Amino acid sequence: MTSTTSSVSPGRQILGVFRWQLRRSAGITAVYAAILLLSYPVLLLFTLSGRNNYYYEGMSEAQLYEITVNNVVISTRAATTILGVSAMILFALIFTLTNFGFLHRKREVDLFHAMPVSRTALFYGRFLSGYLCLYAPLLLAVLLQGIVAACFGVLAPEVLTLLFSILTQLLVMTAAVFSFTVFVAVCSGSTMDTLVSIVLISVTWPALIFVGTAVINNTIPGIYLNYSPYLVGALSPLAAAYVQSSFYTFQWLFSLWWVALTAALLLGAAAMYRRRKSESAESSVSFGPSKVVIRIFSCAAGGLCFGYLLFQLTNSTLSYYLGALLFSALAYLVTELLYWKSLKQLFRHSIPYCGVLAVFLAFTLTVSLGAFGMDTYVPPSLQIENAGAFNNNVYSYMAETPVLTEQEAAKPERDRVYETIRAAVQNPELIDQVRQANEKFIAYERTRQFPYLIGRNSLPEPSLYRYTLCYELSNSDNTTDRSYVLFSNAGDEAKALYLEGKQLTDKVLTSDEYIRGLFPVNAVDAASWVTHYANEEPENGGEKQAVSTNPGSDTVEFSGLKNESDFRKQLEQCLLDDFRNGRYLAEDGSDAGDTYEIMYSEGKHFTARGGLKSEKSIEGQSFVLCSSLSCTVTSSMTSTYQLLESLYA
Amino acid sequence: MIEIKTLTKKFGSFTALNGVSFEIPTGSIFGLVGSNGAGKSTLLRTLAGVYRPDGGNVFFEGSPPYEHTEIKSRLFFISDYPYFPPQSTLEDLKSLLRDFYPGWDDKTFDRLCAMFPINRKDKLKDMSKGMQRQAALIAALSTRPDYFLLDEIFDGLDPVVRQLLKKLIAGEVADRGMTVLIASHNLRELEDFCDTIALLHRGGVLLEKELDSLRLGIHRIQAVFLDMPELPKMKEKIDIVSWERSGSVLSFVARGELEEILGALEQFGPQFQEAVPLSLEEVFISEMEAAGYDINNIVG
Repeated sequence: MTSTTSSVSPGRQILGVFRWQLRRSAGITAVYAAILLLSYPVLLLFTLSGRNNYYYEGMSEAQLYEITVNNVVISTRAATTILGVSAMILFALIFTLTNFGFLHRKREVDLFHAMPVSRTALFYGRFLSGYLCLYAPLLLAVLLQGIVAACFGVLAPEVLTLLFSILTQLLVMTAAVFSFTVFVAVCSGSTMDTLVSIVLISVTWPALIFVGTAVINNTIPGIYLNYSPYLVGALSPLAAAYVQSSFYTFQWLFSLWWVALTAALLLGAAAMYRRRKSESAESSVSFGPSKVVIRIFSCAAGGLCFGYLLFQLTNSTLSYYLGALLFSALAYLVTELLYWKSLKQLFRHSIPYCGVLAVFLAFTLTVSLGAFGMDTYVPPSLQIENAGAFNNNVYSYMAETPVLTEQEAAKPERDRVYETIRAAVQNPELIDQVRQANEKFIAYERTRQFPYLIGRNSLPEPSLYRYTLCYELSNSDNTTDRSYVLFSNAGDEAKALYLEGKQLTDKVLTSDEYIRGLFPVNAVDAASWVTHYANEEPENGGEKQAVSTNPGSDTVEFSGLKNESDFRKQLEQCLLDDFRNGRYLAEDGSDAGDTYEIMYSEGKHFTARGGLKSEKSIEGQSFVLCSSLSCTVTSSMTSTYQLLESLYA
Repeated sequence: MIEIKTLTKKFGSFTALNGVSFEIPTGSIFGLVGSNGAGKSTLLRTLAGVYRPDGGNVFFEGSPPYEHTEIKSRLFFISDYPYFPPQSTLEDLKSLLRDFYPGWDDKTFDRLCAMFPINRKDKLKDMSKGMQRQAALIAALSTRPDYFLLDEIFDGLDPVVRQLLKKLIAGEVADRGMTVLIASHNLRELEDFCDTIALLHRGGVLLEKELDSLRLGIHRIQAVFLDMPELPKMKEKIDIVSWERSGSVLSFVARGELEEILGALEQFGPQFQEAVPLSLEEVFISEMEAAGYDINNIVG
């Protein structure tokens, strides 16, 4: 006799699994909700309750409002970066283990896979339950955050925008992290392997990007690549969650990338789950290819990271290569033990390791040979909008001036975006000189050492013995920088090439166009240019020109100069004269004798001349100085020095 | 009807089931015996739809159970170590199974809860092994399965509960035509319970027969002789499978019709002779030895 009852429909199967899992997860969800509530609305409540501590006599309502809004923004951002993201990652992991940990235990697999529930329903029911348990506390916390802000009357548009941005970011990254951890759980045979794999994937990818970039920077002379946060977070959702939270504005493209990757991970996990054999429970990994991929990444990252660490510790090129080989082999052994629990099949599994070695060799060769011409690249003249240079004189820092457009200056401080104006030249002849100098420097590097070996070939920090050339290209938003250092171990031929490059660069650095762009003194309105300092007290105390002094200090302040406009013109002429004739600080940095310092006050408006900016030329635009700038006048700058001396005569 | 056709299941390089084939008629109680590692649990898991076969297949009324929710809703599998979700009670188990088994019957559940000495509000993980098996049985029978797959179910059950279980299952088989497949490494557990027995060894079926037919052609005889006859001469007349001598008492297992065996024995002048009941284990030993296997290596 057989029954005629039919099975439960797929929809009801999913709902049944979802409800069951939700009930089982209620306690953990409550803990997660409590943590988020403490991190967001409760923390904000305490912050705003103490806002009267900021109140002082004479403060306007508008100022108090501004401070309060600031508190909401700071509190929300800090809660997200410090607690929100960390808690989200932790609980995504916990829900993965509670909802999908059954796959790693034979007894549980026996129960659930023998039940009349399709694997698709079992997967999606548990997955959706995990989603809800992660989303509901987050939505509640952000909603209450908004309510608390509203209760204190500071639900400003910027607060609403911020809350929406943070909520959206966290929702996207929660989905990404949970999909990723579930995907790994489905591909793993045991809980321990799941955790190990999650950690390995999350750590190895960012490590590969960081160390790979550092190796390129330390091998190919001239270039300095910055770490791209987008690349760091591109394939590691855990890293991406922190990267995302570090942005102050919502990153649409980055988020869209992760939405797409989340969908791929979710569908991939569902497909893998359908194919997953029940007997994979309590084995090392359910799908062979996944452990091979993780292993390849681990060996590559282990080798690169520890090789680079050894290089940093010893400054030895050999230690890098030996360290990379040694530690990649060690990573290979460790992963063999982790995934196969013995070394019996060590040699059978050596093909992926040989692959890693081959890729490492290819990477090393590529970088050593200049990465397909990256070392010899000089932008074509027609593409260059303007070019700049920095040398090792004391005024290098003057060549980059942080400023605010008037529009940005009008914004609250927390929202301002700073621009950088760089001294640069647009004259085609000068641009060509920069290019020629660049080619000489390239020839110097190729003569000095080629193929390149890892060493201190690029120095990220300003160095006294470095020449930097930079280009702003018409087809790119970013500037292209190349830096070259004269190394003491360079041969005579190489040194001669370097000096030729240096001479060509110096011609640009002493050109009128460059010097005019170098100092804001050329742009600051006469009415704004009011102050200068002498860091050594003049013999006569500056009495003739000074209207006020700063008693008790070595520095004497002068302001309100008579015939200020005339003096400005004189000073500009003197500076041009000194720089045009190369009379600035000696290359070794030494300068005996007195110095004067010209100070440009913060907040003064000026009109930029030429110069570079990350996006477009800023010629003729009005800007606000966002920090005080100074220009040290040394005794070697005879014209300017004498003029300043005359002030105290 | 359950059909198992050239079923093969491999775990890596290890073949757990190698071309297993047999059929289980509807409404029968089928015993599966074999030593540890013989492939009993693997066969049950494959039948339950937990494992996907690597070769051949199993069919319930013509349909394979793997990912077939309709078939699976009519069968229930209790593994050798049944799993219960952490902190769950029998009531929780009920709420889980009720959603997925259309045949779930609250009345049966209540009746069985009253029948077994178990508190439905107690946490299952705190219960003894025997109590946990009872809980699994209550839950399983409440789904009113058409096919009931049991792996080492008698382990940890006290004799009273064991008999109760046998009675319950026999009742379900009689009333509803439920088909039962029960795996055990202990032949004695199955001898008064099963209709058919299959012996599994190293992934293959060594023997599969109905118990009645197994017992029909083999007998244990005890005889007392003043003058013990020579065994080779006896073997010429009687198909002796095994024998044992203790003083003047000869005990042996022989094949053939009982009357014929006793008639042949008369020729050797026994003072006394009688046929004694043969345990299933002895039947198996005889069968296996006749087939050329050393039973000690097969049934642990």
